Amino acid sequence: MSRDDVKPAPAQAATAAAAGGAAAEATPATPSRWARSDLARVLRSGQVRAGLIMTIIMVIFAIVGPFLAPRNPNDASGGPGPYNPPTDGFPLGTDNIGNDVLSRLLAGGIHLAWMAPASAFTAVLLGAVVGVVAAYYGGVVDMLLMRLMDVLLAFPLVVFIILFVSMVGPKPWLLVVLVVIGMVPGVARVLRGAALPLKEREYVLWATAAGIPARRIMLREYLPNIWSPLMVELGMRLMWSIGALASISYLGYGIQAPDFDWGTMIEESRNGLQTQPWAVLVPVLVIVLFTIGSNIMAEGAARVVARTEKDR
Amino acid sequence: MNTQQLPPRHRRWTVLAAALAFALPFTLAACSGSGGGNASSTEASASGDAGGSGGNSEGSLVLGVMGNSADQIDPYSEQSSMSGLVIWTQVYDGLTHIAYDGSIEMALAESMTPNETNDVWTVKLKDGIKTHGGHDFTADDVIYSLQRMLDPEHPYAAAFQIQIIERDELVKIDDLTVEIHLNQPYGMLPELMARERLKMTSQYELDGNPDGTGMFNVVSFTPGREAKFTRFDDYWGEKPGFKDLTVLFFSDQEAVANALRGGQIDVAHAVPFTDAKTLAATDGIEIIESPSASHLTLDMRMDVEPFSDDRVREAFRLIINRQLTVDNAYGGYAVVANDINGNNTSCPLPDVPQREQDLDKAKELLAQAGYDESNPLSVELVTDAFNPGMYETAQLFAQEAAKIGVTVEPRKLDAATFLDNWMEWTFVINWSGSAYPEMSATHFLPDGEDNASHFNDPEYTELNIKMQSTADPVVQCECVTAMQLIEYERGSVIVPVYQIDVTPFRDRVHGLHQDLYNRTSYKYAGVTVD
Repeated sequence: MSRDDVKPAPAQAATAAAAGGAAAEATPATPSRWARSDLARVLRSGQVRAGLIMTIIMVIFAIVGPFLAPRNPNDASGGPGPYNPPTDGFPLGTDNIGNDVLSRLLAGGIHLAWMAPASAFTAVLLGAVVGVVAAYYGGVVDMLLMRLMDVLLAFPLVVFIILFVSMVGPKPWLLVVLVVIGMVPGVARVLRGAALPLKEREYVLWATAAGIPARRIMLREYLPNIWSPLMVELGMRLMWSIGALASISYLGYGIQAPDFDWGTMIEESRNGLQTQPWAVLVPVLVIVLFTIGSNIMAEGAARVVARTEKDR
Repeated sequence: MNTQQLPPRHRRWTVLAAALAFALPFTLAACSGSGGGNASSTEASASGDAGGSGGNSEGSLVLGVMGNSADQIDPYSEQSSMSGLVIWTQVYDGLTHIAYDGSIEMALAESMTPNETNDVWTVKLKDGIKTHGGHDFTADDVIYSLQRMLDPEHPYAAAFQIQIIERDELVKIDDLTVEIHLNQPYGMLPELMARERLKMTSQYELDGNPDGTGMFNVVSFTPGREAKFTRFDDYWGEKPGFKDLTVLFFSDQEAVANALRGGQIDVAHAVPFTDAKTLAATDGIEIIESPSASHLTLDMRMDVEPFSDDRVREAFRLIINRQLTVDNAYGGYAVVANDINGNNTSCPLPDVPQREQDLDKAKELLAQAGYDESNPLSVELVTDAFNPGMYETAQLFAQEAAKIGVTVEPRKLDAATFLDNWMEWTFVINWSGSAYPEMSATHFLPDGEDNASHFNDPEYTELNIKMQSTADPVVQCECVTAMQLIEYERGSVIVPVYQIDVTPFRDRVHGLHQDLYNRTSYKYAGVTVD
């Protein structure tokens, strides 16, 4: 755990100092609603910040990369041939058919840069809806939704994706949809667990008694109180979706030639690992960095959430 | 030709099997054979020998090859695979066989002589050939083998290859003479009987216990894992110079290459082209390169759009960069080809110019066919990538096509999906692995099981029938050259390169031969080990 995680947040520290002052000359500064929010607590974590920065850098790298590619990443003619080690003009060498590895590395992250976050956000959003609705209504609704989630959970994510891609074809939107479907059950179960205790809270009971519509209760009373686990899930699911999408591409069911991504780069050049390791190691490295960034972020958020729950 | 009994994968492997057997028909003088045994085989490949003699006659050799758990020791099994061919080659012989240079030689047969109409052949067997069980190999064994192959109750992948033989009209003249009656004139029976899957077995084989005449006896066989053999000291031909042979089966070529590096095997049947150079640079490992009669083809289905338009097919032949394919898809282990299936016959090629990449002309042709910026052409190029270089060729083709606005999407499919839709793909990477007569029948006749382009040219078909019905090698060659000219001028496939087969082996092995049909790694006549 980083020290940032345990030291009081600035706003809290200020409040404590003010409250503990012998002569409180001024009115103690009241932390803003934002500063007191779970999201702010999470974002104040050094670990979360480090992971977030790393993830943002990778996303920017993936988005800007195609514009920086020194060569056409999809043209093997005129190069030094396949699996050529780094030389002048080809600083990372060439791949299995002689494409410039550097150019493909720069241009190969764009799909992952939108597909992974899109999958993670959508999965967390849908998972939150299912989890909160199940927790709020309980009974038959809860049972039905959770059994449905159990059924989906029974399918291994990668197998599930391969099955549908084999039938429908490898479309990027389909990959996103399948990753979302594969991740929603996990998110729903976690967030249902987080939302269940809220049902007994006084403010929820009051809102219900006051006849406030269920949708509004869920939005106004439930959602803000599951924000922390939701953040944790978002980081986790981002990490998983990066891994899943890269794996699917590696297995040949993801982005298809002539298009490519970092996963396909690994798959296409794996036979040349001993001859030209850069063609494999470099895309592996950027996927690892992307994954580690989101992992650090998720883990940091989880720690903050755990500490906050304990404090409460 | 009856192909209905054969699933697509079997058909494709059968063609590969045939590749190893349906040899150049035109080097066997009049097919009436003065015998000759296999004495000339070593001479034919002398320039490609890995050298060496003597060695340890009690030594052992380990071969690595891709294998699968469905392989059987029975040569008449339904399944065809490369690992199966490796096994059968050790245990069984054919009436004839293909020499290293592709010519046909007598094997168990001493001679094969047709009647005047080419519909009755008299096969004279060599005297004194023993089976592993100690029996003499006789006319009864030939009849037994052919009847087993043609048994309608027994699913046998290669049965369709000998449908011309009348199963009930195999006549024993004496112990060493058989008369084979055909249901049509066929002038190329010695070539036909050289196919790797048409091995002879003994009538004394029982319950799957092999009783062949090959140079090795089976000691044990575990499909998908390993097979062990020991030298058959009564073998009729040139024997191996070592005693024990072990064949280890691997799941992919990379694993085979790694096993060779690690010293687990002595000879690798096939490795990725990309590994060849690093293996060659490894201490203790040498490489034999063999010109090959096998090559990929890019088949354009000419009965559906867009390839029903001659201009589109011609444009695609002008899109491919053949030298780039040689250099980048095959790492240099190939030579430029010219849209002719021509590395599998000794007949003279038609005198036509080398087709070169011409993107401007291709764009112009496509525009004439109605494909331009406003109506861009987009096709999938499908492959199961079961051979090195296939997917890479598709990738390069896609890149070149993109330069003139044509979208080609290479799709690498698993074998099951690929073969489930065999003959239905619009643009597909096919494999030609047989000598010209067999290849032309399977790839370019309307009923050919590998005619993925749905080629149907009456003139070509007529030439093919004429070629098969004569035993005159001059006429056969005239037919072949004329058919090749049709392939070049109005064919439906792109033949970008002829590959070069690479066989790496440890330097303790001596006497391996160059081989036109990629058998270098598993033909052991005269091979010795330290």
